[in-house]
Amino acid sequence: MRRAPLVAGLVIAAGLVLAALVSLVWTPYDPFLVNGADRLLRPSLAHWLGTDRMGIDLVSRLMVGARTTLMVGVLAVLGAAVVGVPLGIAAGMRRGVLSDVILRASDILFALPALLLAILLVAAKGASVATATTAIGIATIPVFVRMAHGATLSVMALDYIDAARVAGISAPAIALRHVVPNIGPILGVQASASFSTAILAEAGLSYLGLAASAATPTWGRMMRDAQDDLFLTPWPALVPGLAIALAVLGFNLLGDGLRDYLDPRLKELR
Amino acid sequence: MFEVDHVTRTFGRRKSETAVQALDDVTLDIKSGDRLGIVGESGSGKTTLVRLLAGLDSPTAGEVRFQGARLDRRDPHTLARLRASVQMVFQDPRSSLDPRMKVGQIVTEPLRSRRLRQTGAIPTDPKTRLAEVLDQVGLPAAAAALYPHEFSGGQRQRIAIARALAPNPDILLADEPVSALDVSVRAQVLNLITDLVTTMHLTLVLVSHDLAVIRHLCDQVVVLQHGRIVEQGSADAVYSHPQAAYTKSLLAAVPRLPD
Repeated sequence: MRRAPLVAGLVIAAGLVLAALVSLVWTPYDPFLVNGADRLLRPSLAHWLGTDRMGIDLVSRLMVGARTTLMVGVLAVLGAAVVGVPLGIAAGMRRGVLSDVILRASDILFALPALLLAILLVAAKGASVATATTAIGIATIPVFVRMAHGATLSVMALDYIDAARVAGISAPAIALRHVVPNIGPILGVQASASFSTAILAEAGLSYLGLAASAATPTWGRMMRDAQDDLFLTPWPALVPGLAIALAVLGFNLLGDGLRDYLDPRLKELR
Repeated sequence: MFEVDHVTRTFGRRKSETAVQALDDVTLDIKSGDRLGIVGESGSGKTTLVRLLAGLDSPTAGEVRFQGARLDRRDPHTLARLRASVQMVFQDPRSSLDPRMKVGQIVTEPLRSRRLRQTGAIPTDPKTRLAEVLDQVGLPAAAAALYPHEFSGGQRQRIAIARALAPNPDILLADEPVSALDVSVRAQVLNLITDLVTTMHLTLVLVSHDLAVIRHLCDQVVVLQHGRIVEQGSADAVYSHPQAAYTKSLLAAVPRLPD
């Protein structure tokens, strides 16, 4: 039973990826075709989740939106990890001025609200999915700096690091050979948790009109477009909202499940 | 081989209240072929001393010389020579072996160091050397393909000893090499170290809080208390005629079986 969160998280994440991939070749209806006759239909056998105010099938729109959601999440988290993890490892291995500069800079970035960052970037570059991804990625960097720093500190206290130094191994080689493999699981868990935060952030930015234009279907954008019809029919807003909630839940479960699964102290219980 | 010259090591900000003086004006000569035991209770500075010898730490004041050259972080050449001939066995093999590496990789790690290879003083063929040292510590060749957690504590310490032997060192530093092990395997590991030191003509520096362990392996003894050397001399002399009151109390604390 202890693996239940991991399995549930994997199923939801896999479902999301599958929906995004399938949408590249097939969707039940054209996700961009405006059809005035089928406006705001309730869920039925023909349209499983109903249609929006333009008469577009919500299942099709949701599948295409999953692509943007995943892409934003992957790029933002990957970018943040690529920048943040080496900085965190460097700060954990070399105490002193370098470490202080990295950690203080990271704290300042952490204190800056992500939304403010997004508004600044949009003001400079215009609203787009790329701008939103950049803003989310930058806001996620300090999370990885902190996580990598703490994990590196605990690894550096172990004797096998001293053993490697006695063996004449240089600091960069120690980082690659000993630190990275041993902090990897912790970072994997963090990546999964950050992924769900990124999805939520992207939905929020889209809803505020700071991310995707109307031409790019994203779940947050779908909610924004549906809010005017909320009292006519709740479906067009409810469907993307639930999709966002499910995706966030899925990646949180995945992160928690991974943490439990990889924790060697819990191994005997498995 | 080693000259420890008026070495002081202070941890924490100097002159602040939290500063800890781990070593206080320690002077010590270690000659080739010595089997030196460093004894003292926990907090006496014995681990700090051996870490200075291993080049893992630097003194706050004074200097440590290896073969006449001053050890200095900024002098990679001397440090590489030190590492090629001075190897160390740590206290707890559960912590000193990387859990994500196979035994073969762990043992040959010193041989893959570019710095050590440049000294030209270490064996050049990792594969052959791996088989040799595994045999010397009494592990089967098949051990190379396994991970550390697949071995018992005593076997893991054998793996750590094999790694220390791999670059063919002249000096072996051992920091409490058996205190993390089951009592039942301590004697085996101590006998292994004794055999290796004898057959390979190693200089041994052994840190222990256990006088019986020191007596078993060492011919010279240094007694540390609060970071100072309170007594030093040949093991026989220190054990039969201890001079310092602290040494006497340490010896009196050793449990004896009735004759």
